[in-house]
Amino acid sequence: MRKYVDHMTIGMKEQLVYPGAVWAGLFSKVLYLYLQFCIWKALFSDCLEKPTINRTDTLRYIIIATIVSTIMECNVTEKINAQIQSGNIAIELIRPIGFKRMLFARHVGDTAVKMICCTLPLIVLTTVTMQWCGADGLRLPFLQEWSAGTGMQLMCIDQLGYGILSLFLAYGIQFLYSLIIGLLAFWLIVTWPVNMFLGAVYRLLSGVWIPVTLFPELLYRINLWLPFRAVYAIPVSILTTEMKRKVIWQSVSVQMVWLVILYGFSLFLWRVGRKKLVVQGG
Amino acid sequence: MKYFRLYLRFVIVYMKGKLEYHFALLLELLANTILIGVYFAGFGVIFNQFETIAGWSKYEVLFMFTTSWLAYSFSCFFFWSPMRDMGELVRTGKLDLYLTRPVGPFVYLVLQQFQYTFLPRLFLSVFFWGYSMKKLQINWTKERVIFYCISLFAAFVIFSSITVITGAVSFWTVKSEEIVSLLTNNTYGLKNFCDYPLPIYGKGVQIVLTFAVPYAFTGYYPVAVLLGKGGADSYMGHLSPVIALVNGGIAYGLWRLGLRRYGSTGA
Repeated sequence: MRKYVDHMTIGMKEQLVYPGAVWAGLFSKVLYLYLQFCIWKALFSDCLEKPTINRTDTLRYIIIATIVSTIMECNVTEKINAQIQSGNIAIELIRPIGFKRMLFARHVGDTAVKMICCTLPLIVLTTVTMQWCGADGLRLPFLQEWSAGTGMQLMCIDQLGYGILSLFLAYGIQFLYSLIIGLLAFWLIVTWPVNMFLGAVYRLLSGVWIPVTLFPELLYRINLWLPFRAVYAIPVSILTTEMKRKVIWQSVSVQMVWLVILYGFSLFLWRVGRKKLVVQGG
Repeated sequence: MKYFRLYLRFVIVYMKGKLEYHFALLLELLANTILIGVYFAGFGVIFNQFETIAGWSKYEVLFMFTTSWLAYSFSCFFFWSPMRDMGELVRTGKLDLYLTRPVGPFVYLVLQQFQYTFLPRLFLSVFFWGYSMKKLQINWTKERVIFYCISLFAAFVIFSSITVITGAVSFWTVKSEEIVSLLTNNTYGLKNFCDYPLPIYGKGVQIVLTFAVPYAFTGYYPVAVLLGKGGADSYMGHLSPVIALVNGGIAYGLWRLGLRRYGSTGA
């Protein structure tokens, strides 16, 4: 256990080496959050009558999804890729420590830093601006668009516990998903096009960009059978939309099923892939 | 003409190198096509539910941002990759190599590469551009065509200038990648703000996009004039060439200044 904790701290240190990058990351997230908010607010302001979609729920969803994305992001794929390509993985494999566990420990360290430097400031910023703009009509010129969201509670507090449980599961699924794509490098050597391709599909289908409830019927149905929505759509809707307990448990069990399936698949790829590994030189 | 022949030779050499790994090349093209295709798909999904945004219909928005994307793809075709690599070239001192060539370093940097990865973006933009135009039934008078062509060229210059400025910045700070990513990242970049009509943002952001990083002149302002949209900012649409000129000047000056300042890191 000790050694994994050490790897966690390494992960944290890796993130903190370039503080500039961390701030740039936060800044781009703030920009993106603002962009998303403006787009969806404008879309709703043009047509007030939309019985199928709830304005507040959608805006809440967009905000929370963007905030959640700061902790979900995972660069495990690139790490595995670099190691398989350079052959360094051979050294990792001799170590008396599980390779995948080590990756996970580092990823957790990585996330811890992002949580403190990105997620928390974003949560504070959104809460403060929403309260501030509404309280006494005080409006910052560049934030005036926010005022539309005043009086809006960001989350369903009584579902927070379920939401957090769901977030943990989503975190695991996201890690396994990145791991699996990374392991494909055993066969493909270069996986960035695959990564880019799946990244694009993932961005659309996971619900981080557009709430899945807005999808056309057919796409929505197809998506029900895919793992992507388990990462964003499920936890974020539990956090932002009021639901029956039964529906929540159903969603959470879908996530659990995907966690098990992806875990099994990653084990399989790992077993088979390791035999394919050829390290030249060294 | 001389440069054109040179470019042709460079493209052939570059592509020969790339075609050695034709599978990777194919994958790259495919991945880029899907990346851009998914963006359009997402756009379709959003506007499947909503008809308009800030008074713009979905085809008007599509026409606006494909106009901007067209200029952007062309611009990136020439300038994106060399300027992205500038940081690395300055850091490692490899820029020395380019200084000793019989053509100017800037020309050489631009000519020696061929960013085919922007081809899918270009083709898809052209496709949806044509599609939106067909839906819109714009009455193309002679003045409008000339106006549109000038605006499109201005947009090309604006995008290129911004790219060159970010590249030139690496003469001073060694890490310019973050600035590049902040502006042009496919998901988080500032450029994405221009895919939608400007009035949906707050005043502050509008000012930034108009004067600080004038992306708004690459699509929104001119197209608003063309489609008869904007009320107060209709004269802004005619300012694109001026903004392009100013930006081009800044980019040129900054590049010259940076190049003069460049002292090799030694090798």
